[in-house]
Amino acid sequence: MKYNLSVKEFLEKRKNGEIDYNDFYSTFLTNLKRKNKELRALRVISHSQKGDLNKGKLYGLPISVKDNICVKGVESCAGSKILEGYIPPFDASCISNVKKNSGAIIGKTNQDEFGFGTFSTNSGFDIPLNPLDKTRVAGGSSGGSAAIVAGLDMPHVSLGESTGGSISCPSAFCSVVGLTPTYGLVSRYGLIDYANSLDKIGVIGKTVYDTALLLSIIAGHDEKDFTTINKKAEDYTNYCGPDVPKKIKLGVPKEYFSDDIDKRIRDEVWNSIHYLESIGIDYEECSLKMTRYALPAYYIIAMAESSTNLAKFCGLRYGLQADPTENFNNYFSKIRSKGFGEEAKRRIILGTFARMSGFRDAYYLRAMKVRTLVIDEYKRLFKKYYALISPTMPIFPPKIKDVKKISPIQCYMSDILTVPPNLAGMPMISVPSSVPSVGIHIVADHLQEGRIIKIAYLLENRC
Amino acid sequence: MKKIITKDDVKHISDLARINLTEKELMKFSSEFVEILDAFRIIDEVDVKDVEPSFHPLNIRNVFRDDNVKIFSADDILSNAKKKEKGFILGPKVG
Repeated sequence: MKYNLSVKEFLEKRKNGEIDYNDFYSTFLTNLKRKNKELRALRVISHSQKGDLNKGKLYGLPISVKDNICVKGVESCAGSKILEGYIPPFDASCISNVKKNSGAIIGKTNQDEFGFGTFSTNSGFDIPLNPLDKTRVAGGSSGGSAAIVAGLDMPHVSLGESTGGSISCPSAFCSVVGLTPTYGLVSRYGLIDYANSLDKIGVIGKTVYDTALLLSIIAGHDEKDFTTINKKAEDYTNYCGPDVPKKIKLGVPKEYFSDDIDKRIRDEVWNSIHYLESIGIDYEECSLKMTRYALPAYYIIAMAESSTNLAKFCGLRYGLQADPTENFNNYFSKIRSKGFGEEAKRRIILGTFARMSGFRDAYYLRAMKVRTLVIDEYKRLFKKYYALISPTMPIFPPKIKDVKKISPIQCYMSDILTVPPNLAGMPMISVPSSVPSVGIHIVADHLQEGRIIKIAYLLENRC
Repeated sequence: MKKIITKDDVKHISDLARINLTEKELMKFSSEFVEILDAFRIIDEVDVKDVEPSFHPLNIRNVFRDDNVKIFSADDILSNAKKKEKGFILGPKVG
Protein backbone atom coordinates (compact mmCIF):
# COMPACT_ATOMS: atom_id res chain seq x y z
CA MET A 1 0.00 0.00 0.00
CA LYS A 2 1.16 3.47 -0.98
CA TYR A 3 1.07 4.96 2.52
CA ASN A 4 2.26 1.99 4.52
CA LEU A 5 4.93 4.19 6.12
CA SER A 6 6.37 4.54 9.58
CA VAL A 7 5.79 7.84 11.37
CA LYS A 8 9.44 8.71 10.80
CA GLU A 9 9.19 8.02 7.04
CA PHE A 10 5.92 9.97 6.83
CA LEU A 11 7.50 13.03 8.46
CA GLU A 12 10.55 12.85 6.15
CA LYS A 13 8.38 12.63 3.06
CA ARG A 14 6.09 15.41 4.20
CA LYS A 15 9.09 17.62 4.93
CA ASN A 16 10.39 17.00 1.43
CA GLY A 17 6.98 17.64 -0.13
CA GLU A 18 6.70 14.09 -1.43
CA ILE A 19 3.16 13.44 -0.15
CA ASP A 20 -0.07 14.91 -1.52
CA TYR A 21 -1.77 15.43 1.83
CA ASN A 22 -5.36 15.45 0.56
CA ASP A 23 -4.81 12.13 -1.16
CA PHE A 24 -3.09 10.78 1.95
CA TYR A 25 -5.89 11.90 4.27
CA SER A 26 -8.68 10.45 2.15
CA THR A 27 -6.80 7.13 1.87
CA PHE A 28 -6.26 7.26 5.62
CA LEU A 29 -9.95 7.81 6.31
CA THR A 30 -11.00 4.95 4.04
CA ASN A 31 -8.60 2.58 5.77
CA LEU A 32 -9.48 3.85 9.22
CA LYS A 33 -13.21 3.33 8.67
CA ARG A 34 -12.67 -0.17 7.31
CA LYS A 35 -10.43 -1.13 10.23
CA ASN A 36 -12.78 0.45 12.72
CA LYS A 37 -15.70 -1.65 11.53
CA GLU A 38 -13.57 -4.65 12.31
CA LEU A 39 -12.10 -3.51 15.66
CA ARG A 40 -14.62 -1.00 17.08
CA ALA A 41 -11.65 1.02 18.33
CA LEU A 42 -12.97 4.54 17.73
CA ARG A 43 -16.27 5.91 18.93
CA VAL A 44 -16.07 9.08 16.79
CA ILE A 45 -14.16 9.72 13.57
CA SER A 46 -13.37 13.29 12.48
CA HIS A 47 -13.90 13.58 8.77
CA SER A 48 -12.15 16.79 7.87
CA GLN A 49 -9.08 18.67 8.94
CA LYS A 50 -8.93 22.44 9.22
CA GLY A 51 -5.97 24.81 9.22
CA ASP A 52 -2.47 24.68 7.82
CA LEU A 53 -1.05 21.20 8.28
CA ASN A 54 2.23 21.97 6.56
CA LYS A 55 4.01 23.53 9.51
CA GLY A 56 5.02 22.45 13.03
CA LYS A 57 6.67 19.17 13.86
CA LEU A 58 3.86 16.78 12.90
CA TYR A 59 2.99 17.81 9.30
CA GLY A 60 -0.58 16.56 9.55
CA LEU A 61 0.29 13.26 11.26
CA PRO A 62 -3.00 11.57 12.25
CA ILE A 63 -3.51 11.43 16.02
CA SER A 64 -6.37 9.57 17.69
CA VAL A 65 -7.39 10.60 21.19
CA LYS A 66 -8.74 8.64 24.13
CA ASP A 67 -12.36 9.59 24.75
CA ASN A 68 -11.61 11.16 28.15
CA ILE A 69 -9.43 13.94 26.67
CA CYS A 70 -11.46 16.98 25.57
CA VAL A 71 -11.26 18.04 21.94
CA LYS A 72 -13.08 21.24 21.02
CA GLY A 73 -16.19 20.57 18.96
CA VAL A 74 -15.81 16.75 19.10
CA GLU A 75 -18.09 14.70 21.36
CA SER A 76 -16.02 13.60 24.38
CA CYS A 77 -17.66 11.15 26.80
CA ALA A 78 -14.85 9.32 28.69
CA GLY A 79 -16.63 6.15 27.60
CA SER A 80 -19.66 6.97 29.75
CA LYS A 81 -23.33 7.26 28.85
CA ILE A 82 -23.66 10.01 31.43
CA LEU A 83 -21.60 12.28 29.16
CA GLU A 84 -23.26 11.25 25.90
CA GLY A 85 -23.68 14.28 23.70
CA TYR A 86 -21.12 16.43 25.55
CA ILE A 87 -19.25 18.65 23.11
CA PRO A 88 -16.37 20.45 24.85
CA PRO A 89 -16.14 24.16 23.98
CA PHE A 90 -12.35 24.01 24.54
CA ASP A 91 -9.28 21.88 23.83
CA ALA A 92 -7.31 20.03 26.50
CA SER A 93 -3.80 21.54 26.75
CA CYS A 94 -2.19 18.45 25.19
CA ILE A 95 -4.59 18.81 22.23
CA SER A 96 -3.67 22.50 21.85
CA ASN A 97 -0.01 21.45 21.72
CA VAL A 98 -0.72 18.77 19.11
CA LYS A 99 -2.70 21.23 16.99
CA LYS A 100 0.03 23.90 17.31
CA ASN A 101 2.39 21.33 15.80
CA SER A 102 -0.01 20.43 12.98
CA GLY A 103 -1.17 17.10 14.34
CA ALA A 104 -4.45 16.02 12.72
CA ILE A 105 -6.97 14.84 15.34
CA ILE A 106 -8.80 11.94 13.70
CA GLY A 107 -11.23 10.82 16.41
CA LYS A 108 -11.97 9.54 19.89
CA THR A 109 -11.10 6.02 21.02
CA ASN A 110 -13.23 3.63 23.07
CA GLN A 111 -12.29 2.99 26.68
CA ASP A 112 -13.59 1.65 29.96
CA GLU A 113 -16.03 4.15 31.41
CA PHE A 114 -13.90 6.93 33.03
CA GLY A 115 -10.95 4.50 32.89
CA PHE A 116 -12.55 2.02 35.31
CA GLY A 117 -11.24 -1.28 34.00
CA THR A 118 -8.47 -3.51 32.72
CA PHE A 119 -10.13 -4.91 29.58
CA SER A 120 -12.17 -2.00 28.06
CA THR A 121 -15.23 -4.17 28.58
CA ASN A 122 -16.67 -1.59 31.00
CA SER A 123 -17.27 0.79 28.11
CA GLY A 124 -20.61 2.59 27.93
CA PHE A 125 -20.33 2.24 24.16
CA ASP A 126 -18.39 -0.32 22.07
CA ILE A 127 -15.84 -2.81 23.37
CA PRO A 128 -12.69 -2.61 21.23
CA LEU A 129 -11.33 -5.93 19.92
CA ASN A 130 -7.73 -7.09 20.00
CA PRO A 131 -6.33 -7.01 16.42
CA LEU A 132 -4.04 -9.97 17.24
CA ASP A 133 -7.07 -12.15 18.09
CA LYS A 134 -10.47 -10.58 17.72
CA THR A 135 -12.10 -12.92 20.23
CA ARG A 136 -9.89 -11.40 22.94
CA VAL A 137 -9.91 -8.06 24.76
CA ALA A 138 -7.65 -5.20 23.69
CA GLY A 139 -6.86 -4.38 27.32
CA GLY A 140 -7.88 -1.34 29.26
CA SER A 141 -8.59 1.22 29.84
CA SER A 142 -7.02 2.88 26.75
CA GLY A 143 -8.08 -0.19 24.72
CA GLY A 144 -9.37 1.62 21.63
CA SER A 145 -6.12 3.56 21.29
CA ALA A 146 -3.93 0.45 21.44
CA ALA A 147 -6.24 -1.52 19.13
CA ILE A 148 -6.22 1.07 16.37
CA VAL A 149 -2.46 1.67 16.65
CA ALA A 150 -1.88 -2.08 16.27
CA GLY A 151 -4.52 -2.63 13.62
CA LEU A 152 -3.86 0.20 11.20
CA ASP A 153 -0.87 -0.04 8.86
CA MET A 154 -0.52 3.68 8.33
CA PRO A 155 1.38 6.45 10.13
CA HIS A 156 -0.63 7.31 13.23
CA VAL A 157 -0.10 7.79 16.98
CA SER A 158 -2.64 7.81 19.81
CA LEU A 159 -3.00 9.83 22.99
CA GLY A 160 -3.94 7.60 25.94
CA GLU A 161 -4.26 8.09 29.66
CA SER A 162 -3.21 5.99 32.62
CA THR A 163 -4.33 6.04 36.23
CA GLY A 164 -3.15 2.59 37.33
CA GLY A 165 -1.84 0.99 34.13
CA SER A 166 -4.30 2.00 31.43
CA ILE A 167 -1.57 2.72 28.87
CA SER A 168 0.78 -0.17 29.64
CA CYS A 169 -1.89 -2.90 29.79
CA PRO A 170 -3.54 -2.43 26.37
CA SER A 171 -0.15 -1.73 24.78
CA ALA A 172 1.12 -5.09 26.04
CA PHE A 173 -2.04 -6.96 25.00
CA CYS A 174 -2.00 -5.43 21.47
CA SER A 175 1.83 -5.64 21.10
CA VAL A 176 2.43 -1.92 20.65
CA VAL A 177 4.48 0.62 22.61
CA GLY A 178 2.85 2.51 25.49
CA LEU A 179 4.61 5.35 27.29
CA THR A 180 3.25 6.68 30.59
CA PRO A 181 5.20 9.77 31.71
CA THR A 182 6.03 10.95 35.22
CA TYR A 183 2.98 12.30 37.05
CA GLY A 184 2.82 16.03 36.28
CA LEU A 185 5.02 16.03 33.18
CA VAL A 186 1.98 16.41 30.89
CA SER A 187 -0.83 18.82 31.70
CA ARG A 188 -4.13 17.27 32.76
CA TYR A 189 -6.09 20.38 31.82
CA GLY A 190 -9.02 19.15 29.72
CA LEU A 191 -8.76 15.56 30.91
CA ILE A 192 -12.04 14.21 32.29
CA ASP A 193 -10.65 13.21 35.70
CA TYR A 194 -10.65 9.74 37.16
CA ALA A 195 -8.30 10.25 40.13
CA ASN A 196 -6.50 13.59 40.14
CA SER A 197 -3.39 12.52 42.02
CA LEU A 198 -2.85 9.52 39.72
CA ASP A 199 -4.00 10.47 36.19
CA LYS A 200 -1.35 10.85 33.49
CA ILE A 201 -1.82 11.53 29.79
CA GLY A 202 0.63 9.52 27.68
CA VAL A 203 1.22 8.03 24.26
CA ILE A 204 0.59 4.75 22.43
CA GLY A 205 2.45 4.16 19.16
CA LYS A 206 3.81 1.47 16.88
CA THR A 207 7.41 2.28 17.78
CA VAL A 208 9.36 3.75 20.69
CA TYR A 209 10.30 6.68 18.43
CA ASP A 210 6.61 7.51 17.81
CA THR A 211 5.86 7.71 21.52
CA ALA A 212 9.01 9.77 22.24
CA LEU A 213 8.07 12.18 19.44
CA LEU A 214 4.57 12.88 20.72
CA LEU A 215 5.71 13.08 24.35
CA SER A 216 8.15 15.85 23.34
CA ILE A 217 5.17 17.81 22.03
CA ILE A 218 2.73 17.36 24.92
CA ALA A 219 5.19 17.58 27.87
CA GLY A 220 5.77 20.75 29.81
CA HIS A 221 4.50 23.19 32.40
CA ASP A 222 0.98 24.50 31.97
CA GLU A 223 -0.40 27.35 34.04
CA LYS A 224 -3.85 25.78 33.73
CA ASP A 225 -2.71 22.70 35.71
CA PHE A 226 -0.89 23.60 38.91
CA THR A 227 0.36 20.04 39.35
CA THR A 228 2.50 20.20 36.18
CA ILE A 229 6.22 20.16 36.74
CA ASN A 230 8.26 23.18 35.71
CA LYS A 231 10.79 21.45 33.51
CA LYS A 232 12.64 22.58 30.41
CA ALA A 233 11.28 21.12 27.16
CA GLU A 234 13.20 18.12 25.94
CA ASP A 235 13.34 16.24 22.62
CA TYR A 236 12.86 12.67 23.77
CA THR A 237 13.59 11.25 20.32
CA ASN A 238 17.26 11.95 21.10
CA TYR A 239 17.18 8.83 23.29
CA CYS A 240 16.19 6.68 20.30
CA GLY A 241 19.63 5.55 19.22
CA PRO A 242 21.71 2.35 19.16
CA ASP A 243 24.38 3.49 21.66
CA VAL A 244 24.41 1.42 24.83
CA PRO A 245 24.76 3.32 28.12
CA LYS A 246 27.98 2.34 29.91
CA LYS A 247 28.25 0.83 33.38
CA ILE A 248 24.56 0.67 34.13
CA LYS A 249 22.61 -1.94 35.98
CA LEU A 250 18.95 -2.85 35.70
CA GLY A 251 16.97 -4.07 38.69
CA VAL A 252 14.82 -7.18 38.30
CA PRO A 253 12.21 -7.12 41.10
CA LYS A 254 11.66 -10.71 42.21
CA GLU A 255 8.06 -10.06 43.28
CA TYR A 256 7.29 -9.38 39.60
CA PHE A 257 8.36 -12.90 38.61
CA SER A 258 6.33 -14.86 41.14
CA ASP A 259 4.37 -18.01 40.30
CA ASP A 260 1.25 -15.88 39.88
CA ILE A 261 2.71 -14.57 36.62
CA ASP A 262 2.16 -16.80 33.56
CA LYS A 263 5.37 -18.78 33.05
CA ARG A 264 5.49 -18.10 29.29
CA ILE A 265 5.47 -14.38 30.10
CA ARG A 266 8.21 -14.71 32.73
CA ASP A 267 10.39 -16.72 30.33
CA GLU A 268 9.99 -14.20 27.56
CA VAL A 269 10.95 -11.29 29.80
CA TRP A 270 14.03 -13.20 30.98
CA ASN A 271 15.01 -13.65 27.31
CA SER A 272 14.95 -9.88 26.94
CA ILE A 273 16.97 -9.37 30.12
CA HIS A 274 19.57 -11.81 28.81
CA TYR A 275 19.62 -10.03 25.45
CA LEU A 276 20.36 -6.74 27.22
CA GLU A 277 23.08 -8.50 29.20
CA SER A 278 24.62 -9.70 25.94
CA ILE A 279 24.99 -6.09 24.72
CA GLY A 280 26.60 -5.00 27.97
CA ILE A 281 23.73 -4.03 30.26
CA ASP A 282 24.06 -5.73 33.59
CA TYR A 283 21.18 -6.77 35.82
CA GLU A 284 20.65 -7.74 39.40
CA GLU A 285 17.66 -9.21 41.19
CA CYS A 286 16.12 -6.89 43.73
CA SER A 287 12.99 -6.70 45.86
CA LEU A 288 9.93 -4.46 45.94
CA LYS A 289 8.38 -5.67 49.17
CA MET A 290 5.61 -3.08 49.10
CA THR A 291 4.12 -4.52 45.88
CA ARG A 292 1.34 -6.43 47.63
CA TYR A 293 0.31 -3.37 49.63
CA ALA A 294 0.48 -1.01 46.65
CA LEU A 295 -2.55 -2.59 45.00
CA PRO A 296 -5.11 -2.04 47.80
CA ALA A 297 -3.61 1.39 48.57
CA TYR A 298 -4.01 2.33 44.92
CA TYR A 299 -7.61 1.14 44.68
CA ILE A 300 -8.63 2.91 47.88
CA ILE A 301 -7.10 6.21 46.71
CA ALA A 302 -8.41 5.86 43.15
CA MET A 303 -11.94 5.02 44.28
CA ALA A 304 -12.01 7.80 46.89
CA GLU A 305 -10.85 10.40 44.37
CA SER A 306 -13.15 9.14 41.62
CA SER A 307 -16.18 9.22 43.92
CA THR A 308 -15.60 12.96 44.44
CA ASN A 309 -14.86 13.59 40.75
CA LEU A 310 -18.03 11.86 39.63
CA ALA A 311 -20.17 13.87 42.04
CA LYS A 312 -20.42 16.67 39.49
CA PHE A 313 -22.33 14.59 36.94
CA CYS A 314 -25.94 15.35 37.65
CA GLY A 315 -27.65 15.90 34.31
CA LEU A 316 -27.92 19.67 34.31
CA ARG A 317 -25.12 21.34 32.41
CA TYR A 318 -23.94 18.73 29.89
CA GLY A 319 -24.27 15.11 28.84
CA LEU A 320 -27.28 13.00 29.75
CA GLN A 321 -30.25 15.23 30.65
CA ALA A 322 -33.98 14.85 31.15
CA ASP A 323 -36.97 17.04 31.97
CA PRO A 324 -36.27 18.37 35.47
CA THR A 325 -39.84 17.92 36.60
CA GLU A 326 -39.21 16.46 40.03
CA ASN A 327 -37.39 17.36 43.25
CA PHE A 328 -33.65 17.92 42.68
CA ASN A 329 -32.46 14.95 44.74
CA ASN A 330 -34.72 12.56 42.86
CA TYR A 331 -33.70 14.08 39.54
CA PHE A 332 -29.95 13.73 40.25
CA SER A 333 -30.38 10.16 41.51
CA LYS A 334 -32.42 9.21 38.46
CA ILE A 335 -29.88 10.61 35.97
CA ARG A 336 -26.89 9.14 37.82
CA SER A 337 -28.48 5.70 38.18
CA LYS A 338 -29.25 5.65 34.46
CA GLY A 339 -26.01 7.17 33.18
CA PHE A 340 -23.34 5.35 35.20
CA GLY A 341 -22.39 1.77 34.40
CA GLU A 342 -21.96 -0.96 36.98
CA GLU A 343 -18.25 -0.47 37.67
CA ALA A 344 -18.69 3.31 38.03
CA LYS A 345 -21.44 2.72 40.60
CA ARG A 346 -19.26 0.18 42.41
CA ARG A 347 -16.35 2.63 42.66
CA ILE A 348 -18.49 5.62 43.64
CA ILE A 349 -20.03 3.68 46.53
CA LEU A 350 -16.75 2.12 47.72
CA GLY A 351 -14.94 5.45 47.35
CA THR A 352 -17.63 7.26 49.32
CA PHE A 353 -17.35 4.58 52.02
CA ALA A 354 -13.54 4.97 52.25
CA ARG A 355 -13.93 8.72 52.81
CA MET A 356 -16.69 8.53 55.43
CA SER A 357 -16.00 9.61 58.97
CA GLY A 358 -15.08 6.59 61.06
CA PHE A 359 -13.51 4.82 58.07
CA ARG A 360 -11.42 7.60 56.52
CA ASP A 361 -8.38 7.02 58.76
CA ALA A 362 -8.48 3.24 58.36
CA TYR A 363 -8.73 3.32 54.59
CA TYR A 364 -8.03 6.58 52.80
CA LEU A 365 -5.43 8.11 55.10
CA ARG A 366 -3.69 4.80 55.65
CA ALA A 367 -3.54 4.23 51.90
CA MET A 368 -1.91 7.65 51.47
CA LYS A 369 0.75 6.66 54.00
CA VAL A 370 1.34 3.35 52.25
CA ARG A 371 1.84 5.37 49.07
CA THR A 372 4.67 7.28 50.79
CA LEU A 373 6.36 3.97 51.62
CA VAL A 374 5.91 2.70 48.05
CA ILE A 375 7.52 5.87 46.66
CA ASP A 376 10.39 5.63 49.21
CA GLU A 377 11.07 2.03 48.22
CA TYR A 378 11.30 2.92 44.52
CA LYS A 379 13.53 5.91 45.30
CA ARG A 380 15.95 3.67 47.22
CA LEU A 381 16.17 1.24 44.29
CA PHE A 382 16.73 4.00 41.75
CA LYS A 383 19.82 5.13 43.65
CA LYS A 384 21.33 1.85 42.56
CA TYR A 385 19.57 0.93 39.30
CA TYR A 386 19.22 2.77 36.00
CA ALA A 387 15.73 1.30 35.59
CA LEU A 388 13.63 -1.70 36.62
CA ILE A 389 12.52 -4.36 34.16
CA SER A 390 9.62 -6.82 34.49
CA PRO A 391 6.60 -8.19 32.63
CA THR A 392 3.84 -5.62 31.97
CA MET A 393 0.89 -7.93 32.60
CA PRO A 394 0.73 -11.21 34.56
CA ILE A 395 -1.71 -12.79 32.09
CA PHE A 396 -2.51 -13.05 28.39
CA PRO A 397 -5.58 -11.10 27.21
CA PRO A 398 -8.70 -13.07 28.17
CA LYS A 399 -11.47 -13.88 25.73
CA ILE A 400 -14.20 -11.25 25.73
CA LYS A 401 -16.86 -13.84 26.52
CA ASP A 402 -14.91 -14.98 29.59
CA VAL A 403 -14.52 -11.53 31.17
CA LYS A 404 -17.91 -11.67 32.90
CA LYS A 405 -16.70 -14.72 34.82
CA ILE A 406 -13.92 -12.63 36.39
CA SER A 407 -14.93 -11.13 39.76
CA PRO A 408 -14.13 -7.45 40.49
CA ILE A 409 -11.35 -8.37 42.93
CA GLN A 410 -9.76 -10.81 40.43
CA CYS A 411 -9.88 -8.06 37.84
CA TYR A 412 -8.19 -5.57 40.20
CA MET A 413 -5.50 -8.18 40.94
CA SER A 414 -4.50 -8.32 37.27
CA ASP A 415 -3.17 -4.76 37.67
CA ILE A 416 -0.63 -5.99 40.25
CA LEU A 417 2.43 -5.17 38.07
CA THR A 418 1.28 -1.84 36.63
CA VAL A 419 -0.28 -0.29 39.72
CA PRO A 420 2.83 0.20 41.93
CA PRO A 421 4.77 2.45 39.50
CA ASN A 422 1.55 4.35 38.73
CA LEU A 423 0.88 4.88 42.43
CA ALA A 424 4.42 6.23 42.79
CA GLY A 425 4.08 8.46 39.68
CA MET A 426 7.13 6.89 38.00
CA PRO A 427 7.53 6.99 34.19
CA MET A 428 7.09 3.62 32.48
CA ILE A 429 7.02 2.10 29.04
CA SER A 430 5.65 -1.19 27.76
CA VAL A 431 7.49 -2.50 24.71
CA PRO A 432 6.42 -5.61 22.77
CA SER A 433 8.43 -8.82 23.12
CA SER A 434 8.71 -11.47 20.44
CA VAL A 435 5.67 -13.30 21.87
CA PRO A 436 2.33 -11.69 20.87
CA SER A 437 0.52 -9.88 23.69
CA VAL A 438 3.53 -10.02 26.01
CA GLY A 439 4.92 -6.63 26.98
CA ILE A 440 8.17 -5.83 28.73
CA HIS A 441 7.77 -3.11 31.32
CA ILE A 442 10.54 -0.65 32.05
CA VAL A 443 10.20 1.78 34.94
CA ALA A 444 12.57 4.58 35.94
CA ASP A 445 12.78 7.31 38.56
CA HIS A 446 10.68 10.49 38.31
CA LEU A 447 11.51 12.52 35.19
CA GLN A 448 13.88 9.88 33.80
CA GLU A 449 11.81 9.33 30.66
CA GLY A 450 15.06 9.23 28.69
CA ARG A 451 16.11 6.04 30.45
CA ILE A 452 12.95 4.07 29.72
CA ILE A 453 12.98 5.25 26.11
CA LYS A 454 16.63 4.21 25.77
CA ILE A 455 16.14 0.66 27.10
CA ALA A 456 12.89 0.20 25.16
CA TYR A 457 14.57 1.35 21.97
CA LEU A 458 17.40 -1.15 22.44
CA LEU A 459 14.89 -3.97 22.98
CA GLU A 460 12.77 -2.93 20.02
CA ASN A 461 15.78 -2.92 17.72
CA ARG A 462 17.39 -6.10 18.99
CA CYS A 463 19.35 -8.02 16.41
CA MET B 1 -16.58 -12.21 62.45
CA LYS B 2 -18.30 -8.86 62.12
CA LYS B 3 -19.02 -7.92 58.53
CA ILE B 4 -17.06 -4.86 57.40
CA ILE B 5 -20.02 -3.59 55.43
CA THR B 6 -23.68 -4.63 55.52
CA LYS B 7 -26.48 -4.39 53.00
CA ASP B 8 -27.96 -1.49 55.00
CA ASP B 9 -24.62 0.34 54.84
CA VAL B 10 -24.49 -0.07 51.06
CA LYS B 11 -28.04 1.27 50.78
CA HIS B 12 -27.18 4.26 52.98
CA ILE B 13 -23.97 5.08 51.10
CA SER B 14 -25.61 4.76 47.69
CA ASP B 15 -28.32 7.18 48.85
CA LEU B 16 -25.62 9.64 49.94
CA ALA B 17 -23.93 9.28 46.54
CA ARG B 18 -27.29 9.83 44.78
CA ILE B 19 -27.39 6.42 43.16
CA ASN B 20 -30.54 4.29 43.26
CA LEU B 21 -29.69 0.60 43.35
CA THR B 22 -32.12 -2.13 42.37
CA GLU B 23 -32.60 -4.91 44.91
CA LYS B 24 -30.49 -7.14 42.66
CA GLU B 25 -27.64 -4.60 42.48
CA LEU B 26 -27.83 -4.09 46.23
CA MET B 27 -27.45 -7.82 46.89
CA LYS B 28 -24.62 -8.20 44.39
CA PHE B 29 -22.65 -5.15 45.58
CA SER B 30 -23.11 -6.01 49.28
CA SER B 31 -21.49 -9.41 48.91
CA GLU B 32 -18.76 -8.14 46.55
CA PHE B 33 -17.88 -5.25 48.86
CA VAL B 34 -17.27 -7.61 51.77
CA GLU B 35 -14.79 -9.53 49.63
CA ILE B 36 -13.12 -6.38 48.20
CA LEU B 37 -12.78 -4.56 51.53
CA ASP B 38 -11.55 -7.70 53.20
CA ALA B 39 -8.78 -8.02 50.57
CA PHE B 40 -7.93 -4.32 51.02
CA ARG B 41 -7.42 -4.76 54.75
CA ILE B 42 -3.97 -6.27 54.16
CA ILE B 43 -2.71 -2.69 54.33
CA ASP B 44 -3.32 -3.01 58.08
CA GLU B 45 -0.13 -5.09 58.18
CA VAL B 46 1.97 -2.07 57.19
CA ASP B 47 3.56 -0.09 59.97
CA VAL B 48 2.66 3.51 59.11
CA LYS B 49 3.67 5.06 62.44
CA ASP B 50 5.35 8.43 61.82
CA VAL B 51 4.80 8.13 58.06
CA GLU B 52 3.46 11.23 56.34
CA PRO B 53 0.68 10.70 53.78
CA SER B 54 1.49 11.45 50.14
CA PHE B 55 -1.36 13.31 48.56
CA HIS B 56 0.63 13.41 45.32
CA PRO B 57 3.47 11.22 44.06
CA LEU B 58 5.81 14.18 43.76
CA ASN B 59 6.38 16.96 46.25
CA ILE B 60 4.43 19.64 44.50
CA ARG B 61 4.39 23.21 45.72
CA ASN B 62 1.73 25.83 45.45
CA VAL B 63 2.19 27.93 42.36
CA PHE B 64 0.52 31.19 41.57
CA ARG B 65 -0.31 32.86 38.33
CA ASP B 66 -1.30 36.44 37.61
CA ASP B 67 -4.90 37.05 38.52
CA ASN B 68 -5.99 37.95 35.02
CA VAL B 69 -9.62 37.39 34.16
CA LYS B 70 -10.08 35.35 31.01
CA ILE B 71 -13.64 35.43 29.78
CA PHE B 72 -15.14 32.17 28.60
CA SER B 73 -18.15 33.08 26.49
CA ALA B 74 -21.48 32.44 28.22
CA ASP B 75 -22.82 30.93 25.02
CA ASP B 76 -20.00 28.39 25.03
CA ILE B 77 -20.55 27.58 28.70
CA LEU B 78 -24.27 27.05 28.15
CA SER B 79 -23.91 25.29 24.82
CA ASN B 80 -24.26 21.80 26.33
CA ALA B 81 -27.25 22.51 28.59
CA LYS B 82 -30.59 21.50 27.09
CA LYS B 83 -32.89 23.51 29.36
CA LYS B 84 -32.04 27.18 29.43
CA GLU B 85 -33.83 30.43 30.15
CA LYS B 86 -32.53 34.02 29.87
CA GLY B 87 -28.90 32.96 30.05
CA PHE B 88 -29.45 30.58 32.96
CA ILE B 89 -29.63 26.80 33.20
CA LEU B 90 -33.07 25.58 34.16
CA GLY B 91 -32.80 23.11 37.02
CA PRO B 92 -35.14 20.92 39.06
CA LYS B 93 -37.07 22.29 42.04
CA VAL B 94 -35.13 22.75 45.26
CA GLY B 95 -36.82 21.35 48.34
